[in-house]
Amino acid sequence: MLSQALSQPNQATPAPIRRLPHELLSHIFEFCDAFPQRKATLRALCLVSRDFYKVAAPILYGRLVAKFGERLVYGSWFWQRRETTDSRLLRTLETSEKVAKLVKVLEVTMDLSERWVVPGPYADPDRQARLRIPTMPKLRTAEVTFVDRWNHSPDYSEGALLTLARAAPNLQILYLHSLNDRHDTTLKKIARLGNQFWEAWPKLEKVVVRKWRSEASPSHRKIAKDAKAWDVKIEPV
Amino acid sequence: MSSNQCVTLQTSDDEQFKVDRDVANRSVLIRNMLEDVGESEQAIPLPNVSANVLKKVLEWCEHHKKDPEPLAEDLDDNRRKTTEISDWDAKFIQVDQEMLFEIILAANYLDIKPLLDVGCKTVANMIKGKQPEEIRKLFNIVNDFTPEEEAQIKKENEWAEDR
Repeated sequence: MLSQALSQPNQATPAPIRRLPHELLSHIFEFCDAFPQRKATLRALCLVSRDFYKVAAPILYGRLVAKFGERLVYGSWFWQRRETTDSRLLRTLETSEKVAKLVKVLEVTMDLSERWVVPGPYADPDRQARLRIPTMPKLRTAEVTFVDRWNHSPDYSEGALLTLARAAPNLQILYLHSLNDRHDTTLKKIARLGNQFWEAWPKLEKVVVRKWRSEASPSHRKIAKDAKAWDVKIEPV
Repeated sequence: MSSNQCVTLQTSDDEQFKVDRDVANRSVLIRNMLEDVGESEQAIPLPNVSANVLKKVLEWCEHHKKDPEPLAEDLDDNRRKTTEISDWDAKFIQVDQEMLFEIILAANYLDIKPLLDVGCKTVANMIKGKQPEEIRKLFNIVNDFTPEEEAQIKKENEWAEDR
């Protein structure tokens, strides 16, 4: 029942906590995940010892809240640019494949006014390089929120979603229900993209959207039809 | 009380404890064993629990014998949302670290999830707000990182410094 007890260092008096197997240590750290200062606590646990790192890092990175998009992460103007929590997180996910693989659930805010590039002949590689989202191969669930930094700016939310799709090839559940006033606009864009949208998410099983306002809306009908064809469940909430 | 309402438990150090069946039933492991063997006078062996730990565990089971069975969903995410512990449990778990971790191991072995949670929440609350060095000191843990590894992990988790 108890597997993989923590390795004992050469100590005259072994610490009682070191008798706990990793699954019980993980159970304790999951309670730390409920603290308001979860990040700081889990970060401290990661730095205690190798064993603690092995158990705490998957909890710290398992459920992330992040922002993606150049302006949202670094600031709007280049002379204002500075290191932020989001830029540091982005750098870690980009530079450590091992850490990026730990991300399972993501609450992500993206700036829809960024010119997120829809893949195709007009894609600008330079812009794509700047508007990057690190690859998170084990990401299963993503909840997306869009912000409009400039009010009424052009809406590139479909590009943002397709960029996220490339970064999360194994995503199974996509929450779009908290898009607020952009909800219908984004759904219209998804409907217009058709197969190009659905083929971007090979493992997608469910998309959670706000309750349809009108069953008769052509974009809603198109999405429902396309999703059915791609074997994806649409769940209105 | 008739003898078949009582159960005899035998610890790793060969002590026997006779307890009410409803107290013993707080342990899913013992409950399943009793269901498997049916009516029996034989002592149930608990090779992973010593007498002083079982005594403490049975004190908890006695106090909580009338508690409703936790719902399946409570056993998953909901119980992790809070680290609050009832006053009685908080007083019960005021033990030295040696006993605290023995209770956690016993609760896991005996499959008593609410007691396991009390133990784990207590340890989580001990960790709360502490720096790595303070956690090492608290639990007598050796820092086995090389300086390079430690620097790398600090850099990797820099983003999490912001509260």
